[in-house]
Amino acid sequence: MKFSTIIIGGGLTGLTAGITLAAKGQRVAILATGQSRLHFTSGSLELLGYNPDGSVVQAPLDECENLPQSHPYKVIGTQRLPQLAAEARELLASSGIRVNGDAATNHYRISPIGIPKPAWLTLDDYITADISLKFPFRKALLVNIAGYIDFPVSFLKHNLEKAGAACNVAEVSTPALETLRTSQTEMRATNIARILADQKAIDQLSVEINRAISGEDAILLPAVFGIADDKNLQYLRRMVTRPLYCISTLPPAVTGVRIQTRLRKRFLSLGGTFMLGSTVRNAAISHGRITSVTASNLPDQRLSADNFILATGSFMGNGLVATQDTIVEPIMNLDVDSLPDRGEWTSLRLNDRQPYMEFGVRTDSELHPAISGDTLQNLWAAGAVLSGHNPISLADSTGVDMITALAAAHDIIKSKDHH
Amino acid sequence: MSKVSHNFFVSSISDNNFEECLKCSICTVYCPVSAVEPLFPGPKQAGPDGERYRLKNPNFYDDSLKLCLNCKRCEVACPHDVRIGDIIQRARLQNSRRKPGIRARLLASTDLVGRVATRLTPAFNTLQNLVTAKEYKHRMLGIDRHFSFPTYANTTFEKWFEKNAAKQQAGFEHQVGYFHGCHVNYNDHGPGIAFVKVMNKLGFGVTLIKDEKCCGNPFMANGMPQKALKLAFHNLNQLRLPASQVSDVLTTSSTCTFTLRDEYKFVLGLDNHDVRDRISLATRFIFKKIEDGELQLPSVKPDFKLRIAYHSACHMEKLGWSYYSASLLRMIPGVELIMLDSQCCGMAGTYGFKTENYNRSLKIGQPLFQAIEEASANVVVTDCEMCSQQIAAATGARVMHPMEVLALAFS
Amino acid sequence: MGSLRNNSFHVIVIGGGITGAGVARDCAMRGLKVLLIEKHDLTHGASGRNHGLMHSGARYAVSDPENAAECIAENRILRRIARHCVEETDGLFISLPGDDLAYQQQFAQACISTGINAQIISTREAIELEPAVNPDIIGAVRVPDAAIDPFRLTMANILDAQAHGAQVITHHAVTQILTSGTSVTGVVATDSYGNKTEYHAPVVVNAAGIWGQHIAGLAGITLNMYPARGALLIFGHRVNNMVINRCRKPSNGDILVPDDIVCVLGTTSDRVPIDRIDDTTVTNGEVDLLLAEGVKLVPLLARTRILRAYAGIRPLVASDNDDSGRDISRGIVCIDHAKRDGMDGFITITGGKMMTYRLMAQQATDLVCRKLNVKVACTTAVTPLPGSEPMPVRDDDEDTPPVSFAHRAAEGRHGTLVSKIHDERPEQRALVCECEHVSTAEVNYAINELHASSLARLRRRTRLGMGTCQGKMCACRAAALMAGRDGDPETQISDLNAFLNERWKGIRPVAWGTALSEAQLSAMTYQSLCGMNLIQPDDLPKASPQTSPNPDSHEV
Repeated sequence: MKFSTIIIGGGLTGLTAGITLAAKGQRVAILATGQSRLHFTSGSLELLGYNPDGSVVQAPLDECENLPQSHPYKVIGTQRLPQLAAEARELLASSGIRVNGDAATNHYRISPIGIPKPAWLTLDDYITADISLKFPFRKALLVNIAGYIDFPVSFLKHNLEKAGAACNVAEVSTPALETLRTSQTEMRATNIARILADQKAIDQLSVEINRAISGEDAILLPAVFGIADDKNLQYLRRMVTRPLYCISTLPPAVTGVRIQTRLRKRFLSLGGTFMLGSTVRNAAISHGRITSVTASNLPDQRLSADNFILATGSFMGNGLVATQDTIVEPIMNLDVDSLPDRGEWTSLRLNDRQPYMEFGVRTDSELHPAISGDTLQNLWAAGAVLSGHNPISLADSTGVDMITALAAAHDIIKSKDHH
Repeated sequence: MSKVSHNFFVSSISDNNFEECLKCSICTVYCPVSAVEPLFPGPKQAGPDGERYRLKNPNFYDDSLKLCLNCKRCEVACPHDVRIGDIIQRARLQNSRRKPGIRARLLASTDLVGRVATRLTPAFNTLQNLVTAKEYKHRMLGIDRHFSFPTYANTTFEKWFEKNAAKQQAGFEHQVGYFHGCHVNYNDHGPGIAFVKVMNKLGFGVTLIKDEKCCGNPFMANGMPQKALKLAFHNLNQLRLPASQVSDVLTTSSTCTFTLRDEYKFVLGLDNHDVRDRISLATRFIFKKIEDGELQLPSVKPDFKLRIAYHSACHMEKLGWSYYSASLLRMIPGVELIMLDSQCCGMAGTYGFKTENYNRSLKIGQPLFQAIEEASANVVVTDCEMCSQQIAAATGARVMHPMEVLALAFS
Repeated sequence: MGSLRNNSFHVIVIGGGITGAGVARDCAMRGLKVLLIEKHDLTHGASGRNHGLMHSGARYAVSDPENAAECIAENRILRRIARHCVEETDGLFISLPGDDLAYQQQFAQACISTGINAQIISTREAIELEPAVNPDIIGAVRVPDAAIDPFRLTMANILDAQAHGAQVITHHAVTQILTSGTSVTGVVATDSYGNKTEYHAPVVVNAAGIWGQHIAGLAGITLNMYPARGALLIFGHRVNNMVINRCRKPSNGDILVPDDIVCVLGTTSDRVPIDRIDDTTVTNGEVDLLLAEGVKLVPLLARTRILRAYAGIRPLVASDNDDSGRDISRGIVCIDHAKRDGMDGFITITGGKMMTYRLMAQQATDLVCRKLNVKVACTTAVTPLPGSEPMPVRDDDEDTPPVSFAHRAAEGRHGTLVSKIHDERPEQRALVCECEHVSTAEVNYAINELHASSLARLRRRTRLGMGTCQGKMCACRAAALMAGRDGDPETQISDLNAFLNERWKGIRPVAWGTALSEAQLSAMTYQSLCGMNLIQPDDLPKASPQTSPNPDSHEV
């Protein structure tokens, strides 16, 4: 099989790059071991939430200047950020993902336990507050689905009220949800969403919700709507008597699955090839270029391409692997930034900055990785596999995913034009 | 020669790779069963989570694991390559205490039933569609009344081949083997006949595997591991015979292929490495020959036009081979191919036949049936014979095998 | 004995480990009014930080036959009275290439003369019995070792003590021993907010384990403990079904015990200064050492995921300058301080092993009774612990609905007490902890009946959060469940934070491979998604002791 570009990794990074390249007419294949980190996301994307000193970032485009030189934004050049950030928003919109927010000013998303966290873009479904923590309601009705235990209502109410948003609490159900509830393990957000894909269930739910309202001027619900699209959520919004917003749940995240589904659909509609269950095990390299890769499920099939993008993620995606005494990039043994002593990989206090979070593949300013110092000219690394960012202390993960994916895709297109 | 007394339970399950599970629960998102059946604990619980306890005490085995379709979509979705489906499948084979009943034997014995039925058709077909016979099967055997067993052809594919094709095959310089599978042999010769025609057209002679028997998949699904093992040993030995020493053994059934290649290895724990890589779906074989420049597609009859909705069967997803079939079809001038979002049709071999599964089976397939209707194609194409049956019954759509499309285009 | 006032007891037991629990049970069963005081939670010390090995005594047969004889006697008793805490696995003592087979002979002889049924078996038989064992073994001895769950064992003793009228207070430190002349008269207990309460009794039993030196000091008595620290590793699942020991002089990392659905490798043995006994952080060096030794027993361990590392301090009594403490007797030390130091009513019970806790309790209680002039015989050896009574026979008919997975898991944890777990309704059956199959019903049972008011306690009572994901899926669910019950989200979020930090402490030394991947996913859930890192424990306002009770302090 021969492609213009092969992308290793099918998460937000891989799909962002894939869509961009396929839209330019490239023959693109995405090879992915399995489903991605999007399944644990919040429904918001973060460009930069906190400064290195821990303070909240209000204007990400300006404040990214405070980042150290090793941060991917600095590596590609912060002057590229406004353009790429606008493009990322455009890409989501063209895939049917409706978001609010912009890169100039952060807003707050509300975490599943009710903590406000700075965000760049948030799906239209969700409740947000502006950067001065102003909520669009006086008092909300916080509604849970009966028996759903991945939506900690007591914590949400408590922390929302601490943040200045008063709420009352209610519980609703429908006959089909009651049936699902008999499952000991599968009363999960995504299975609830499958049941709520039936408009009849939404009708029943809206009656219950309307009945529960007494004096509140908004409704807050767990984000359990719409694996494929937000059609039924929009329908529910029309059926209830108050403005309705969602709050993200503990994983799996329905809206994350939706983002994945819609991006994948968009990629396929542009003629892309998406191969799931294909773990890339090794690459053939000659004269500083990758010529082909092979996948676990197609061991006798050479997968060749002109360009390759490594978008395999961090440790939890197996993009990086920690052995007892070293950190490696497992496919090509690329040069990585890490620390030699295992004792230094982690910090004693869980909530402190954890050094391992910032380990990753080292690249040049065009995101080309190297093996023993020799740069690979037709390989780009993007997303969480890169070194120098921190999804927790900087709140920059989805931003790094999309921005570096776009940067890599542009470079590939440019180098193609050049030829 | 290997003996059937092989004890596959001793070898550790999938090399204990359930430890790779990060408990992320992504598999549960893609399980077609847990979405519609609250009694099924879901792939994570039935697989890695349950396995830890079953290692302590097999009594932690639960009959609810029988609700698993063995579609392996959990494995395809897993970001850590955990063989969730294999873990469940092996637990079922190891721990199921209840002896399989008549129904399980009947459903599993595709070869036996097929041999009897093909002799007695059309009487068998008429009989099995009589209301009384359906009621009997429904009440007494638990095979759902809504289902027709696949209708049986009045002869076997093997006999057809002997009579109509065998002689010409010697004339070809290159030979390929053909593992036709039970469905082609007893129920629908279509894909088999198309396969022979296409291969001949491409310049390959076809050799049948001597004394081919059922791959054993239905026996695994119906809790009869010893039967499955016996068949597996038989087929592996047949494939190792000098007469079968054609370098490529081609197939037209994705599930037979998957069973011969992967279930023998990972579920039954057999060493099939010498045979495994020789077994390939015909579409993959042809695509690779074309890709390597060793083969060219013959010209297609003028004004050939076909809008195809391609359905990627579960085991095709697991094999990662949908690309081959879809790409080959796309190479045919006049073909417009719509790739359907890959979802389970709910049939899963003999699963959907069972009364207790019938409604669930249709519920599982619902999103796929809807997508098929929305695609408004001339024909649905799939590599799996059981998907084909389920889709045809549920949507009324015309369903074809890729080989049949090729045969049609080249005729 | 006359009537007693509210805060007056016949005997006060200091320490909520297995020894204290055993003493409280024995005293209560002999009709005494008992108070047990624990500084943290039950099993906080060495009782919750050991191998979970029910010795046959074989390990000590060569070096300490007296202790070995005690072990095998207690081993037989515990199989009867603590059935639901014990798993009868049997054990192997294996010799590896380079090990001295002459020692094996000596070992087997010593076992037999101590009354331990040890059989030298062929290496082939050993491998057949335990396929995980190193196939290169050159010798094997089969012994009646078993696995025992210290959390369940302690809890069962506490439940029985309470059933016999004992009072148990946790999260109260004894800060003063009250005396009058040369007699003890009681203790002062202080909660974590500094509130002090006096409790009176004519007899005080010091069962504080390694902290016993400090307790004795409060009574002006010098007691030299020998803190021998042992580090252990927990693996993700059972790779072995029999206890595997190395047949040599006891050394590092030479025992692998199948505990419930995990297996535990241990231990190291290093003397630590007495002022470092509260530091149970495991070093990377200890992990690497244990692992290097462990793979010699079972090569598969090299590819098995390690869940966490932990360490405990053995309460040995100092004898000489043996730096490892391996040579100190594991024998029971029961000190009558009236005789030794002229302090009437003060008893220290220490040394020994978890294995011999019941005998230790019996010896201490005998002494208590002598002092109080009570003549009631000990019945702890013949009375089953709560949960270990004979199990009603279940009808395994095809028509009876199958018992749920979680219920079967709970039965393994609580024995016959599982009948108190009510899971008839769907919301009660919903799983909170998926790795360990802990249902909402079991959580409710632990909160109601086992006084699990924090996640850490819930974990010790149920295994919640002890599984593969170390609380990633269940901790927030359980905390929210608790907050929903007592309506104090602030405390529960703080407790959740503390719980996750405690889990991390054990994960950190083994944070590579899948364990690090899992830790990252957990961090992505709690820190990145939820923002737990933004709630530093210091930010939380402490409830005023006057207006609301100390959330940590709880009368069990």
